[in-house]
Amino acid sequence: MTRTAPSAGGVVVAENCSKWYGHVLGVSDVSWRLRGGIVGLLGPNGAGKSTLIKMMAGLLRPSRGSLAVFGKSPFDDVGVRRRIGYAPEHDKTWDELTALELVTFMARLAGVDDAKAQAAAKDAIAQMGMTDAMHRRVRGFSKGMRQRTKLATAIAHDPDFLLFDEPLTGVDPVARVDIVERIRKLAAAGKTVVVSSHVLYEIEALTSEIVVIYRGQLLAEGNVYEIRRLIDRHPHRIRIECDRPRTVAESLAKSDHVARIVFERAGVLIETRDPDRCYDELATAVVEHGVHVSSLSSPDNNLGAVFEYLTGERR
Amino acid sequence: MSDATGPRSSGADSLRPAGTIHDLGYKRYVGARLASSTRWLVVMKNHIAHAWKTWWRFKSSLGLAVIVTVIAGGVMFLLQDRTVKGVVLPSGIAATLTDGTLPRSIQWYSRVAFLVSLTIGARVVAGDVQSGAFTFYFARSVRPRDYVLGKITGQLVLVGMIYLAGPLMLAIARLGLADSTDQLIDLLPVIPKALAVGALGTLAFACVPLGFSAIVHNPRYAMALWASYYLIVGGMAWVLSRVTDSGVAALDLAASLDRVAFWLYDLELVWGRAKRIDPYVALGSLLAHAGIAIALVVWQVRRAHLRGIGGAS
Repeated sequence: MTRTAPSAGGVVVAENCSKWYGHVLGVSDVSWRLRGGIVGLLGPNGAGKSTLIKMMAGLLRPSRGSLAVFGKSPFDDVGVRRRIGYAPEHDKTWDELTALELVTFMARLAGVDDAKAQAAAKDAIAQMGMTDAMHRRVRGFSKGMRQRTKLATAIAHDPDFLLFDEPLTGVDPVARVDIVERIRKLAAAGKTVVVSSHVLYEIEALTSEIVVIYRGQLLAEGNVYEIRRLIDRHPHRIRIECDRPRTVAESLAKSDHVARIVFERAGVLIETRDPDRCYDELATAVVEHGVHVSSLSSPDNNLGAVFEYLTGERR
Repeated sequence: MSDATGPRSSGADSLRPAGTIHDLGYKRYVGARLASSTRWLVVMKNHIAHAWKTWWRFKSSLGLAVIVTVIAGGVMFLLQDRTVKGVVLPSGIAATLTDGTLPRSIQWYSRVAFLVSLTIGARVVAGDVQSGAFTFYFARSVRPRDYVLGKITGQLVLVGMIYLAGPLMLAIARLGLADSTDQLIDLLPVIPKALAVGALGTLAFACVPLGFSAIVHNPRYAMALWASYYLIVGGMAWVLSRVTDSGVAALDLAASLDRVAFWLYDLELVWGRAKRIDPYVALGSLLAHAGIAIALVVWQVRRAHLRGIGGAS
């Protein structure tokens, strides 16, 4: 059965896309358009990230609605799968193969000419910083090395669209920074990259473009800061560490946009409904009273807070 | 990557590059993209290469097949005048070892092929389901039919190196032992007969274990199931056929292959399991086994593809 794919207009176009596993809902009525760049697919475990990624990779067919990659259904169209590079979440591979053998085989499976497959594999392995270990069997690899090898298998055939399912899980901090940098390079080379994670700071280190998925539904999409702005009903928190927190608090206490003031050990936390006004008044108070500010931060501008707000409403 | 160059002005400006392209450590693949229809060849080659990687999967069985061939060839050469017990010509005269060894050797090739079926064949689909390999196959431009065709042809090549090559070499050896040119010409049909028996055995021992590997998702259980069917069900079928005097003994794959071999080589068995089976029933049983097994593999792989089985999420 071939489904009609939505017309082109993005790398991925999902229209009312749903996926059930028997009675279990994987993804529910997702409509989404991905135009390019790096996008972080964010959600807690079991939210439907892997299901959505598998549908984009052509491994799963939507139960209802449609999902097109480059204008075609990846499940039905073998040709479009050649333009997709997918690194699954699981670590299972042919462990008795060396990294080079594994990546070469994957390149061949994706249609790379036999004569050039090994060169393409070596190049992909080099891009992932695994050249020194490419003749070693995957069986003896650490988690980080397995992740890099998996990413190399995804890029060896030079796809235009990359899908990395939890690529940083279990990777040590040094390797994480390195992998993030390499993924960024792929995007800089013109690839569209979707990276899923349930660890917020991993995505934050990669991109500010996010898609939040929760219980199979698309909760939010766009720039993390824009999304934060949209949540105006939630007070925005500003933390000031200074030598005279009570003076700062007194200056702002009269303002109607301030919802709450909490004194902390080294400063004061202000919850406001109008962050822009609050920052202006704060600056004025600091200058007028000669307060020495050692630190000014907003815990709500990170991805964790956004995610907490978005999912918290549905809990 | 190279620096971009453009028109340069004179003086100090000429020393400055007009622009720079940063090396991102990324090179585009420039080369042919093979058609999706060739993917089964990649799967087949990988299946063979994988089997060849370790000594115990295939090389040991191939070594045993070589030993069987050398011993059978030696018997044919050294004991030409002796007759073989339990094997007679249609006229009732006992067959010579030179002639009788050809169908007699089939049971030994069956034993070796059974080993290969255990170490490789019965693990194929179950192993790929368990290891999540389908994720790698079907996320690339591989269709279920490419996978099935690749795995079956790969397995046919491996088993064929034992079951097709062995009897063929013995048939050629038989021609070499001909007393005269006339006898050589008379004996020429042993070549297509050896090929026919070999092809049938190859088909059975390549496809049937694959079918069992498609039934369960654990390679060890699949191996156990196949071994039980081959050894226990086959034996029970033979016992049952003795009691009921029916053709149920054809469920015994090795006996069926023996029966077809003796039938093709125009020799009769005086005793033994194969004697009780009608050659046409044996032939039908072997083809039915292979057909059902292929259908099972196709069904299971299509099902895995549709359901997204094979990758933990």
